[in-house]
Amino acid sequence: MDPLANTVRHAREAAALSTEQLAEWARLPLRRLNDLEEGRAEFTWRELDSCARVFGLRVDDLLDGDAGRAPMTLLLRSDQSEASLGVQEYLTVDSCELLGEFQRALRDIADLEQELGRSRPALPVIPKEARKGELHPGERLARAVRKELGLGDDAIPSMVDLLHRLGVCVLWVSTTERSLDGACARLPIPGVLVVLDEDFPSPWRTRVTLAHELCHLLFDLGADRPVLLSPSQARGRHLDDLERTAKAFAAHLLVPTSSLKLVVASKDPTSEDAIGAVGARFGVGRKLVINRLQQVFGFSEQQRLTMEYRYESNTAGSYRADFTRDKPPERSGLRGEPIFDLVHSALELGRIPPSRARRILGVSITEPLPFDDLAPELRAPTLTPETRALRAASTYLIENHPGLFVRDAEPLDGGWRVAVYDDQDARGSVWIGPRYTVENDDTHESSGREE
Amino acid sequence: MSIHHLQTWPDSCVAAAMCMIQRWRGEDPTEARFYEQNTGRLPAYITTLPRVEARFVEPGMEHELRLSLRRDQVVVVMVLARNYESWRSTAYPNLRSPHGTMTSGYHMVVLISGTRDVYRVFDSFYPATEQPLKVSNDDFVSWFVGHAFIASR
Repeated sequence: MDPLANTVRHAREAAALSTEQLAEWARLPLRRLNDLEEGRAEFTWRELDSCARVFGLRVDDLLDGDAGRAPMTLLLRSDQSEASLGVQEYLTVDSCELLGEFQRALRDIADLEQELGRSRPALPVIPKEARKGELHPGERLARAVRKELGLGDDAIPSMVDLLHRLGVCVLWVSTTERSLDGACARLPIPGVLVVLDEDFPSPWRTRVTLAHELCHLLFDLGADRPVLLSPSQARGRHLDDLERTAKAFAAHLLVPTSSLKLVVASKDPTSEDAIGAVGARFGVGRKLVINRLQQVFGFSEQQRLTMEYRYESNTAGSYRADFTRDKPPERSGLRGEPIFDLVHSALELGRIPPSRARRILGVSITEPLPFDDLAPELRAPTLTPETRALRAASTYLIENHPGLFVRDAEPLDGGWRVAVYDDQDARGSVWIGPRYTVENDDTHESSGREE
Repeated sequence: MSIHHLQTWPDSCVAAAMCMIQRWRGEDPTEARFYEQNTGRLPAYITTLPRVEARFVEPGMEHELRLSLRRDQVVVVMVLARNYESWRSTAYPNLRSPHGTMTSGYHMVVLISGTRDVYRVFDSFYPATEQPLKVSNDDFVSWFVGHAFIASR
């Protein structure tokens, strides 16, 4: 019986997942997973990696027995409780993979920061203000956050800066996968995932997503549910209640009512002038501006639709808001910023070995690490072309000429000429081609000297 | 408990690796018998021991070996002697072998554990002092040939 089978089964059971569900999310054939769990086959690294990702873990975390307390495990398990959010209904194979990779990235960041002796401030505890009149819960929470963080009623110049100030790590991923807008986690470090739409990049959406996830982070996550996803589409389950509140929170946090009124002032709130002024001031998208104007000034649904249609028909391009401070970093992606810089620092200071840097960044052992400013020995391929040629030649000799072994390799015609010896003498050479396969065998039984 | 076994002859690393498997299994080592029977000093002779499986590991897939170590198996790996010695002389300069210095050919060492950054290795060419040796994944890749023998209890 493969002891790793027990590890995976325990992880699956801790998350209250069926083998069918795990197989689907891990992209493994059900029959194969059954064979693995029953000990009729042994897990490969790749299979274990796929299973670990479902729980938001790296293989070593899974092997270390971390699955039982992994945030994703707790989230999935909470689906079985009375307070179920129906999360599984929202998870597609792609979004599950993305969520898993997001949590793995947070684990890597936490490890790197620990290696570097860096710490993050604890997330503030913001009391939910008592219900006031007819205020929407999202607005009430937004007001509480503005008050606690001393934001006043001013526009928030940068949501990214605000999250960083709170110790929240922001990760960006660009994808065509449309089922998730974002996600957030409290453990092992507070983090937010912004899912950028590859086909329709919308800079204003980023600020809304960041504000939306901040709401989840501050008010919806806890010890029993340390991670949460924000699906693109509502499906009428309990999660939607949280989503509605977070959407309202984002709108009110980014565009506070009192400031909105000041900006509109004497303008016609249904005019393009008002829409442009509000959007530019608060750095939000046109649709959100129109919705907020409707909420504050109470005009009809017909009027709102007219305002949206007006833009689509003849005013494209006139909307000018500054989103530059919340645009994705140049090096985005889960393995982009901030992981890239952290790996660089940790490697430079000798806190992690190059092999760990490669694993975290997904760089092959035959490729150099992408840090041109670091010492050559730190970024050089772990497996040099010469050693790779010796390794290829050795594999060939062990199988075809037992008793012969490699000694030196020298570049030749885009490949490598590897000198071959026995215990005493030279026995010719083999030529390893550019693809590290043996292209020519020029070994002989007796050496030239003996002949 | 150390399973280290110092090889009796300069070219008996295969037999010595088999002895380390025997020790790990709680058996008495029989180096001389292995040495006499494996006249060609062939690495694959290790598979004449029960419950030992040969495996070839592609470059970049070395971490697969860690799964074997997690399964309570030990892994005998073939190494390029010259590259291995180059690493050893830097990492463990005080090790002295009764057999002199390895200069060429292949050698076999036994992995007994592996974490995400480090393997622990027993080397029969050198006495047990300072062993098991600790080797980083990066250094391991620089001398591992790709041939491994997985031994189960």
